Amino acid sequence: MLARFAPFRLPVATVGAALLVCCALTLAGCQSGYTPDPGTAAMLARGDTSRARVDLALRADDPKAGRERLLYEVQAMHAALLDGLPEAASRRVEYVFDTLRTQGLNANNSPDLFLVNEQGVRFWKGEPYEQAVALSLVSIADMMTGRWGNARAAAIESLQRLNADDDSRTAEFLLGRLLAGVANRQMGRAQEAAEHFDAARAASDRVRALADELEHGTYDALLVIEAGRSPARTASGGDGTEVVFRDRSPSNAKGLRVSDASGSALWPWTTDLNAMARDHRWTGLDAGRRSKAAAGNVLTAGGIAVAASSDDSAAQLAGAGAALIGLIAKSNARADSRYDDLLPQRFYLAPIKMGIEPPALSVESSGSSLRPVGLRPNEDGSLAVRLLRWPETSTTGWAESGQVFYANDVTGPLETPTLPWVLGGRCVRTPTRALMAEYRRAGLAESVSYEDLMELYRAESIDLLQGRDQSQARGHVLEGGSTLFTPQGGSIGFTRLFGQFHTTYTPTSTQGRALSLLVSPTITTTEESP
Amino acid sequence: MSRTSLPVFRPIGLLGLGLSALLVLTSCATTGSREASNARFRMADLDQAVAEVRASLIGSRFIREAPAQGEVLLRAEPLTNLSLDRFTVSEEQMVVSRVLSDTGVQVALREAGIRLLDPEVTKPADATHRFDAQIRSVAREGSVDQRESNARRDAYLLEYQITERATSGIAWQASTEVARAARGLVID
Repeated sequence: MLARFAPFRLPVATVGAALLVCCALTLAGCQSGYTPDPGTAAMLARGDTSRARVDLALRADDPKAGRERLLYEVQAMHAALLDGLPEAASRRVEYVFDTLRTQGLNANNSPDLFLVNEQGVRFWKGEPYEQAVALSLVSIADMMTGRWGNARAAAIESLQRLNADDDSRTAEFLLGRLLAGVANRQMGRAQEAAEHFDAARAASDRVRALADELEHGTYDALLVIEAGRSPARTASGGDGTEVVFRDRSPSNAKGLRVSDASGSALWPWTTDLNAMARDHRWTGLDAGRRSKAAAGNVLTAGGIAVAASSDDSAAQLAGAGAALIGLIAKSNARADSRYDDLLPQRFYLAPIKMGIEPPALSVESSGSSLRPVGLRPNEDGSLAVRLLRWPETSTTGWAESGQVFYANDVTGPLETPTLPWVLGGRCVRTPTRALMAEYRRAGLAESVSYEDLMELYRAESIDLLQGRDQSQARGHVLEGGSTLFTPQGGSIGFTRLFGQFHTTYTPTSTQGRALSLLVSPTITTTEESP
Repeated sequence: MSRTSLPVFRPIGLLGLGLSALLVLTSCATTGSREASNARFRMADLDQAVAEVRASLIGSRFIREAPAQGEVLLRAEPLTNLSLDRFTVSEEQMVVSRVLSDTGVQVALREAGIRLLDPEVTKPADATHRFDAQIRSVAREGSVDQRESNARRDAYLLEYQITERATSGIAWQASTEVARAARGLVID
């Protein structure tokens, strides 16, 4: 039998080098394609949802996203919702729901898992709690666009992901339960809504008053507020075969104080991801990891023993080979440490009665507050839903200003007429022929036509985005970007963009400089940052 | 410099090379299982499912008696989604249009003197009758191996109805069912 191989005499050096190269390639291939980016987390922490949205969209759209595609898509969707741009999230919402509904994504991986590290072979689908929260975000996205049937479907699916049909599981994931109740109420399905709210009340006294308000209250907006950072998933134990979740933001009982047109209320947190991560883990791979590590240990020890004790060169090589395979098996037994590091530690739900003044939010004994501006009733009378994240770091005052300093497509004009942003003013509305009269009152020469203004935007390479076109949104011109749009009123994106002053724009194109000369200098003075 | 080669090493070397190549290939290739499936509603199932609904509408008393009722203006309302699946706006429109835009249905409506109003440019109050479509579903998860949930079956019920606005009386209704099943770990 061996004689057949006689013509193929393989030099030891060549074989050894090939083995080493293959092992190196294997180990490289086993590395996770996902590494938490502290930069993106910091952006979200300071409320810079726009930059986070743009960065995460690039990563999600990268063809190399591979096994981490779902993770990137969830994060990009999440950032777009926080930025108040559900249109920019719509494609990702479809992908996330479809992928989470797909079963057996990793069905073919079992044989490979014996040879390769989990992160090198498994498509990331997340732990049950991550799936449930991602489906809740899908539900919130549908609520933000008034698609209540879809919102109901996604909320119920999030509950099924945790088998949340008993009180203890419901108590941990009240977010999904309450969202399902709200969606049903909006669809006029009072009975099914009551079933969800009853289940929430039965599961936890803490949310009794909140569930009552959500079921019977006269609120016209619902703010879903995220705070803190979700626990970090790490590989632990001797060979890293155990999955451990480490809290990054401590759990506590702090409530959310809300002041709106109907008075003041204190709402409890609804869902704590620290607790969910501990209790809703999928343990299907734990035994396999331990077995692989044990086999690796035996092969390594046995191989070294054979190589060390034998005088025969062939046996020594065989022992060394076995030890090498054992080491690879040990290293590949390490638990998958990929997780969605951009999820929050907790969720609050705050029903809001809109008034003239923006609502004021504050987390108990935190000292900080948030006043989301621009919240307006939906045109069809349905509930206005927004997803907000509590800023962790200084926000240069915009989070608390409670003011809108720029004319925009949601709140309309300022008290005094102002020029378009592109000509040094403070109007970032989508230009229309009707707006030209206001611009002229602000000092724009009569000779400048609507067509001239549109040409100026083109010359300055600024894209004007409204409605579904907002799916193409990049950075906003107020923050140095090249797109002009208005995020949903009451969102973090809206509050950050229009709740603070930005540097006045100076046109760079020939057309822009020419048009600037046609602006009356006595009227065009713009306010500087206070 | 001389190069050495050991006869005994040949099979071990070949085995090692094969194993390593396998490791490299498996570590680089997998991005999702070809066996993955889901039990979501598929528009491809719709044509067959609504064939009975179309036939029911064409042969309905509503269409037969329409010529005697004076002007009949029918307006389609958006799909009401009470299922456990999500639908895009175009998919919702498709669930309605697969019935109303069918050639046979169009001919029957025209011959009966029934005018279809464009929902984009009309209000509900402009119509004498409204056409509603609703989808419900029931999901069942189970375990083929009695361990983890790895089988799911979703049964979808599509209900269509024409209601007279003035009386709220049901002028016609029909329904059809679609079932979808998927295998594989739900959680994974």
